[in-house]
Amino acid sequence: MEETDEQLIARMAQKDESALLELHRRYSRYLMAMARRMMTDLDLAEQCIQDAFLNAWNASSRFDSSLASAKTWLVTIAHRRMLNARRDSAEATLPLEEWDSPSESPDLLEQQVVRRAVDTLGEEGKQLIELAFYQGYSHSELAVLTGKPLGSIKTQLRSALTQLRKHFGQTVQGGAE
Amino acid sequence: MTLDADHLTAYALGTLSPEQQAEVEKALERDPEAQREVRAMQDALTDMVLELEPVALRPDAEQSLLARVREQTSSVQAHTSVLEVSRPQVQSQQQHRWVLGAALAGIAAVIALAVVIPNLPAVQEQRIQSEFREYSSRPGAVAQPLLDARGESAGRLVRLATGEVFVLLDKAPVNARVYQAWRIEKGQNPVSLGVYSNRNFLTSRAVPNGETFAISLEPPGGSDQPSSAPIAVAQL
Repeated sequence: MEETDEQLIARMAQKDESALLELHRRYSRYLMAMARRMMTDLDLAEQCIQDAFLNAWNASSRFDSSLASAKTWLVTIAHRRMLNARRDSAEATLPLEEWDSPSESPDLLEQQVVRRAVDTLGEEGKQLIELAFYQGYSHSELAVLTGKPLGSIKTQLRSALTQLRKHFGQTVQGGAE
Repeated sequence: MTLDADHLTAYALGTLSPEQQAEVEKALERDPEAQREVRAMQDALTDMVLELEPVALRPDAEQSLLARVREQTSSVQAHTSVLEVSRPQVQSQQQHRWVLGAALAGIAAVIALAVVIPNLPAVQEQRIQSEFREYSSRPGAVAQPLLDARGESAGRLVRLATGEVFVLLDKAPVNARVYQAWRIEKGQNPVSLGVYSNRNFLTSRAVPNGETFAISLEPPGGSDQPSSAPIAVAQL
């Protein structure tokens, strides 16, 4: 039976390098896919992924599965590292009209495969989620960028996240609507 | 801070400033319901990422990661040794005191971890964490962990683009001692970067990238050379 991600992290906390490599094999290619949508410098992208796994290695003894699943913990570590790298390196911001394209010229097949969950969102919701999550735009920046009222941006983002949660079969509380 | 749905959404998306993020994290500690909401949103965003078409990394990515892990471990061990052997042979008595001091400091650290170190007030803690995030968010700043001789976390540091290093240790100095920061150039004696009485400080001098950065516990006023084993080391 395949070890769970949580079991791998427990072994990482015991400084077991094979567990780190297994986690890397499971997730690094998805993190690279995320990185390609967040930055144009692929060397920097690989560096960020390596940093994320090194941070996970160093923090593995403090991992608490009651607070987050292992995959969410790892993706969140990598996502924040990449956002910081974007901010620190003044990574070129994608023009609005390119928001739906990965940073490196992708082939058509990839563009089609890329959006399963986001395809459940309306065009505007999809645009906002991508600009916020992959490009790091704040609510107020999105309002300026899109020319929409701030309140509308907030409502649409909340709605888009709620739809994503429903798509993945997660319980949605009333307060999040 | 009162959490609302927009705060939680922005937090999950990662779009808050470091200061705002710190405030939300503090508020989340007191709000289990908000924690569940954030977790659900982060889970959904993670699942969205895991639907992306996987993209291969360089073939040597695994080996490169392992090399960094091993370099990190050996760096801590090696530079502990560097500190221990860096003083001239003629100072053998001082070397003995160094070893003795290291042992005492180790015992003191254990006692400190268990008993002595006071809890900082929440407001003070929040200010310190915000300070770290502010330095981390500066252009060109690089954050990395500070590790003790066993490879366990002893704190974090941020090397600024200008070379100064902001340090946030997990614990404050104890037993009327102070922290002293050192830069260690390969084959050279440690060079002091200043003496500090708090667990968070900005070095007064720059440290070139690639050099080793270490912190030891010293008597008030500091020492010409480290008088105890380093409590934290990092390769910048």
